[in-house]
Amino acid sequence: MPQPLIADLPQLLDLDSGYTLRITALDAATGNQVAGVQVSKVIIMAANLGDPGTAGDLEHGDWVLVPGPE
Amino acid sequence: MASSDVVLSAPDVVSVPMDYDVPPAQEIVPKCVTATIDGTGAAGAFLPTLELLSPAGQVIFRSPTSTVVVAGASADVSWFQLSNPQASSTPPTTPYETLIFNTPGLQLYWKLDDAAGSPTIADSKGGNTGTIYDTVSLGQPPLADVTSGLFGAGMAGLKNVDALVDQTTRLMTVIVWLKTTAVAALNYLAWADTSSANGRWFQWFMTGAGHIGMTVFNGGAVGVGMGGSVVVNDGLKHMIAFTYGATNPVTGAGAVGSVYVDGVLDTATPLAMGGSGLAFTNHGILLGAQWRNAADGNSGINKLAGTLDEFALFNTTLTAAQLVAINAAGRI
Repeated sequence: MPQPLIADLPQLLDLDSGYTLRITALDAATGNQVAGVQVSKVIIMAANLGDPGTAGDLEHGDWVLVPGPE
Repeated sequence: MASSDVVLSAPDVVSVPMDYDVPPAQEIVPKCVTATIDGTGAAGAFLPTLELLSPAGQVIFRSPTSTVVVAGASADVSWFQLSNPQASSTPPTTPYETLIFNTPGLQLYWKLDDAAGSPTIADSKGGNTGTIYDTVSLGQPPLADVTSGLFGAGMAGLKNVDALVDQTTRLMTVIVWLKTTAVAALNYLAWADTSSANGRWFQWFMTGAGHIGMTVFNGGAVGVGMGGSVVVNDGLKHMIAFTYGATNPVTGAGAVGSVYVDGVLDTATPLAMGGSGLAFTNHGILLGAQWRNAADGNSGINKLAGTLDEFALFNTTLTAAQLVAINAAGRI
């Protein structure tokens, strides 16, 4: 069973187009990426500061918009 | 959820790094990122990490977890805006609290942040809300972290609670911050017992000489005691920790109880558990007093005159290194 971990995410992290959020796995001693680690079930909840009517534009690559909590 | 909020999902399993590029002509503010990190095939231990890269590809922000995931293990990771009360029902808000939450095995965490006059103390981990039973005063100056402590003499906690926490590991660590000048013969930090027969678990106290003692009970309600020699009733704040480990937790073989003061080992004492591991059922936990079931009425005896803060219970044996780190975090 995966262990639950939490970490900080800065408030008001305002990202324009061209910026990238990256999930990775780093060696604690060297800071280098550790090979062989896989990522799944990634969900990003975000405020869309663009035109809400164009929210579909946020889909990018393999990402899809999914219903959020009410 | 506000109409401008969106939830994006990536259904695939991919190797690190996994990127989300903000699309053209868009602008977002991430509120929460969650992911399952599978280290089954990892080349070594690692820190799950969220990075922000500029359009030029430079890393301008990096948030690793504070816990290393060993090769072969996996983790469900959440990156929260920790000061956002909607991000979690019990959000850690300080480095100390974050470290406590990230330490494996946490079962109960009474921060004792509760406001003066509150009739209860909130458990930030398991929902085990405690009750104030008598002359306890909340809202004291903090000992650790940035939050408030709890002042006796009195007691607070839970009585007669079955299956309070998962103690089936039959291992434990307790941590509390203490400030006192008490010299009474017995001053209880915490007492774990119930009105049920064989319900004893542990009794944690300070002697009149200011030394920390602990009695743990096996599954047959037989107590095994030990004590340290570091003086803690000097009016200064101290982080007090007790760990119980055993080479065979079921039988109690190889059991060792260790007392740490301010992250430094006071004593590590072999404990003869008599063939039965640490008791693990029928628990209540009280802070600041001894409570021998109905014999002590509703308010207990041998109450601690002093301040307690940040009580945390784990079902694991924390290491010396972990306790050093927690002590350091509490002094920031």
